[in-house]
Amino acid sequence: MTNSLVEVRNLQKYFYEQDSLVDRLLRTDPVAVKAVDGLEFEIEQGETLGLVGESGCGKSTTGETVLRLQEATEGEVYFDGSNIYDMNRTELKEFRRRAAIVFQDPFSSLDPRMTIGETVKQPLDVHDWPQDNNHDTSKDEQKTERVKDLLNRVGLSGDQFDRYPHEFSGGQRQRIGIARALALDPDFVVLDEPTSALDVSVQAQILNLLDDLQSEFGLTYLLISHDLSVIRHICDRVAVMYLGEIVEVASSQDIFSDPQHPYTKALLESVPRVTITERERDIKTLSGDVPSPRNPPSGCRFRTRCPSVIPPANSNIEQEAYRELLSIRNRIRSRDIDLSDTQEFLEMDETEDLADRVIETMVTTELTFSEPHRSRVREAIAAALEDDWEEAESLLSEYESICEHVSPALQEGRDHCAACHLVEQPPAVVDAVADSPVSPQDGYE
Amino acid sequence: MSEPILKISDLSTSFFTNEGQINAVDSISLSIDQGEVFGIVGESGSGKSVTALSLMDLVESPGEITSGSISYRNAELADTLREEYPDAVDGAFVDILSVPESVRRSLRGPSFSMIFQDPESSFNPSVTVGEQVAEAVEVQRRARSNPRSTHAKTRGVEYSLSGYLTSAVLPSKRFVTTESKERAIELLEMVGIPDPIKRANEYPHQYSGGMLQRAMIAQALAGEPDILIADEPTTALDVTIQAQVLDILSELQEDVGMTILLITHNLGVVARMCDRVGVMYAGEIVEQGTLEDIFEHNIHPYTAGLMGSIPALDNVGGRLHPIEGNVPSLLDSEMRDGCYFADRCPKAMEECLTKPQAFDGPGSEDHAAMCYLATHEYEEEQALPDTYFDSSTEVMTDD
Amino acid sequence: MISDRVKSNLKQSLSESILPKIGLVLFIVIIFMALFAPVLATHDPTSTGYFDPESGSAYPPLGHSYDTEIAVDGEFTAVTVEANSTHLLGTNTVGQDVYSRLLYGARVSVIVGISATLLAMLIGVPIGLLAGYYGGRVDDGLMRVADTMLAFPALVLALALIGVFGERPIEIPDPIVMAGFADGMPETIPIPGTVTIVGALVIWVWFARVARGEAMSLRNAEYVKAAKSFGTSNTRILLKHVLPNSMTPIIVLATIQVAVIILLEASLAYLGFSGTTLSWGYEIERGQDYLRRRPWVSIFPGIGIMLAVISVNLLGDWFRDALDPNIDQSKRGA
Repeated sequence: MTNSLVEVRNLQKYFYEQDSLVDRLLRTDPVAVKAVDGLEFEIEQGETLGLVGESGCGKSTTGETVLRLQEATEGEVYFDGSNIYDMNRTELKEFRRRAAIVFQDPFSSLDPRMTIGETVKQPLDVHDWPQDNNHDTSKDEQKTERVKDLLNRVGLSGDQFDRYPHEFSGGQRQRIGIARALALDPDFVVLDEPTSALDVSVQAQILNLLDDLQSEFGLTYLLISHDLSVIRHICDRVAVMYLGEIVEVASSQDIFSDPQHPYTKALLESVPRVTITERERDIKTLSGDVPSPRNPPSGCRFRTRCPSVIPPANSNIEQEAYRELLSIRNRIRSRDIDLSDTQEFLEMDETEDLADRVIETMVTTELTFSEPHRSRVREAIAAALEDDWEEAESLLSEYESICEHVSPALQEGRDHCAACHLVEQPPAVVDAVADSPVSPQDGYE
Repeated sequence: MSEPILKISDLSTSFFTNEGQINAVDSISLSIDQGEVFGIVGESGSGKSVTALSLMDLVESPGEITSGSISYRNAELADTLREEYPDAVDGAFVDILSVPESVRRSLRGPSFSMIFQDPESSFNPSVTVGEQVAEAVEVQRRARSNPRSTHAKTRGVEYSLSGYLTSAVLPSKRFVTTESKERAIELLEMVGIPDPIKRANEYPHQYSGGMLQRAMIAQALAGEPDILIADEPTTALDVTIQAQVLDILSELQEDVGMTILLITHNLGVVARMCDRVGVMYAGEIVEQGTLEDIFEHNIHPYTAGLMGSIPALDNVGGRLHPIEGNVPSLLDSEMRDGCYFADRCPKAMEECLTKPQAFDGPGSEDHAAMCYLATHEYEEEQALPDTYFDSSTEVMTDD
Repeated sequence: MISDRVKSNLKQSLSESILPKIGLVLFIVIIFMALFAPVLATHDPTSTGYFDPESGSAYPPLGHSYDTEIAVDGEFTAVTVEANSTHLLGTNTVGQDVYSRLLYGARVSVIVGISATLLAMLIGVPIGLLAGYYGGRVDDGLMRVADTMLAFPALVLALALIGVFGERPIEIPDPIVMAGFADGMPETIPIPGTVTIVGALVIWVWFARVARGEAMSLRNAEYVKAAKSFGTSNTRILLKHVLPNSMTPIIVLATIQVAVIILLEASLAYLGFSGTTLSWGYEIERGQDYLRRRPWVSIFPGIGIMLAVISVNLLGDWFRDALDPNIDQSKRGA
């Protein structure tokens, strides 16, 4: 750990909704949106750590809190050994010189009313660069010289100094953004989706440029991206995020060849490959959508979409049927079975059993529950139809999964770790599993 | 191999702006077979979306289809139109650019249907999704009972003042009938929306992006179209959701035998979905052929450049081989006479200063590329000097 | 600060549509009237007693005449009052030259309109930018004050403030008269001081709200975040990025608010609270009792107000279309 340039400990960032003056007067409780919830990772000197995840998983918020562009709700970020949230003004200014960021949107990342020369020069002005002036030339001339060097370095012409951003294409603007980030010779650069707004051919140019700059200046990167192939291309290590948490960390090699977390597996599988055999490749798509971070699922946050939720001991139920059953149970829990529409739509005759028809409409696949599961589901729905929701809930209570009860965690000190009950878990989690009222089905853990 | 359902020849669409004429689509020719998935792949500004809009007759001022024909095979339609517009009908094919706009409009829905990149802006936020899908069903249903007067039919109900007032005052008295609603629910189920009865009564904001994209597909299917045009259908979606939506499209194509024109910039999506592919650059289809032709036997250096730009997921690779330079402006006045790609091409030769025709390529008989390399090998002594285009590139960045 | 794109957009929409042209021409005419009022005026607008000597009544505008009755030796006789060639638009009920007063009225309207708007910008824009940029409690506090201001009808608020401060006209020496180009004209221009300040106090809220909205969205712009990332101070960010990029909607708003102030000043003058009599609103009030017999006394200042408001609104529309950064006119449709 001695080589870590950046160390993130228990980083949390909550956004509060309904937190205005009026809400406070009315005593409405603020709703916390847990964008980032307890992240732990470190970035070694000179390496590239990739942070990958789908939209809304909190990866961009992570990038900004790591640079203290947003205040963290809790947690520490150590840069070169000192916590950036404890720094005083001078220390923070020095940190700002050593850490930079490149943004996603090449259109909004440059001030439209500044020439690109001014844009790149800004950091030099703010830090009064160069600090020691031993040269004959004036500071202004040196700055201009430096800006021209930077523009040349990122593949633009120094003569374009006086042009405005709208005269440049997306890829060229991204180069200007990179030049600005490099102006103060930083050690650490956060790359927030640096290529996702660009065309593939231009994306490749930028990736190559980033690669060259890293080896030339010995930069340490935190690359945030949703694009696994970009991550794979330039990252040494990868952290996979889901709903504000890191679910798996490993070297790039290990993540891509031997993914452990079901989410990582699904993510990798979902990416269409550029080969002619792609059509034959069978993809098991993840069902459903990412839950809202306002009210994340208990236990493992991925369990609502997970293709391998662990069924309780002695339940003898197929994985697919089990997941359908869980989704029915969730609907019962949230009192979310509205019969008025269903009844109208089904136009059923008197003889049919309403509960059976409701199950049919609710279960999307052609699957049928085996006994005794089917009769339990029927009874539960029948109870729900009679408005006896508690009864309905208790009828399905024995299907509780360990994944709902205990949050899995990343095992410390391992190179490759995943937060999932299917892989080896840290002692605290193992104890919690032992204490919980639900025991996992045999064959797991 | 089945028959073509759509033949486009020499289609050009230009935009007449104050800066000059922009040739967004520059005399492209392609044919799409019944039941296949044809992919158009290209970077932003290559004219792929304008091609789609041209097919749907949705090009808006200052844009205009300036030449070419779009022949659509539909025996029934050909029979009804033969008397009135003999010039437009050729066998079972109808050139939809030579028939009046009213006929073209009646084709939207039962013949061509389109889904867009951004589902959020394609739905009215104040009407339930079920209602909006049902509305599409209703419009098509009415159109079918009287194919030549979609317009009059819809006017009669929805757009009359009294009709509007009744529907505004009495929300239950809407345009759609119960049958349309049921059909809408079936469609929603078909595109894999779980619990469609309940979701049909929800509003667009209650749907996630992926769900809305499915609902938009359902809406596009309302008229049981022959050809579904999908313009970047998954670009706004996350990969796991993208996989779901692509699955739905594949199923539709297999089950219903629908023809899909898929427009995308993502070669992975092309690989997953398409039978045949056209690669667009600067308004032209520079290379087309089967998936194998394009992926394995490509000739055009632009196609090769696109393939070389993509970081592979399966094998970790050193450097990428991007295409240098930027996508050119499509201003008529700034376009060179020769091959449009020559200034970025690593293999530009002297003959590239005159425009190449579409030459046959190796592989399947459909394979064609607008590049001299299809006819002979690259000859280094013929190469243009590196600096040849420098002055003109400068003009382009000036833009 | 005005980029080439904005310039070309301005030209573009000016050449495309007739409305901006009308607005621009009207505006230039009104400014011209206001600037050169002493030179253009035919009489001292404050001197009274220009009456038809025979009837002792006001002159009608050129080319008109009207019938009235005068008492001669205790008997009423009908006489026709003819126009006087020196009084282009006739004279008013106290015998002042309507044409000269129309020119001087334009002065007051333009000066009050522009200076009150500038003052309102000076108050509203910094408050709005601070509130929007910092957000949180600062925002809550400032915006509740603004909402309270908005809760009062503008005219009621203005009357209340005038009640507190008094009318306080400010006399500014007239440079043209001082330089000797227009002898016999009033040497000072009376500016209704309180009305200017009151106008600013009534409309600053709009500037604050618009500036706040802009600052709130710019706060999250990536170039602002980038500036923060290398340690730019908040003051510098506000001055270098947020302020310049918020100016477009503020300029558009300012043009439209000039019209609001012109109307407010006219209303206050009409009610007699302007502090100066050289105002279009005051003239309307003066003529309203004689509308049937001597309509020109009210009509001409009425037309003046109308044209001024229309011109400023047309200019506002023109700016709005041309300055919208999302519309690049020259590339429309591309």
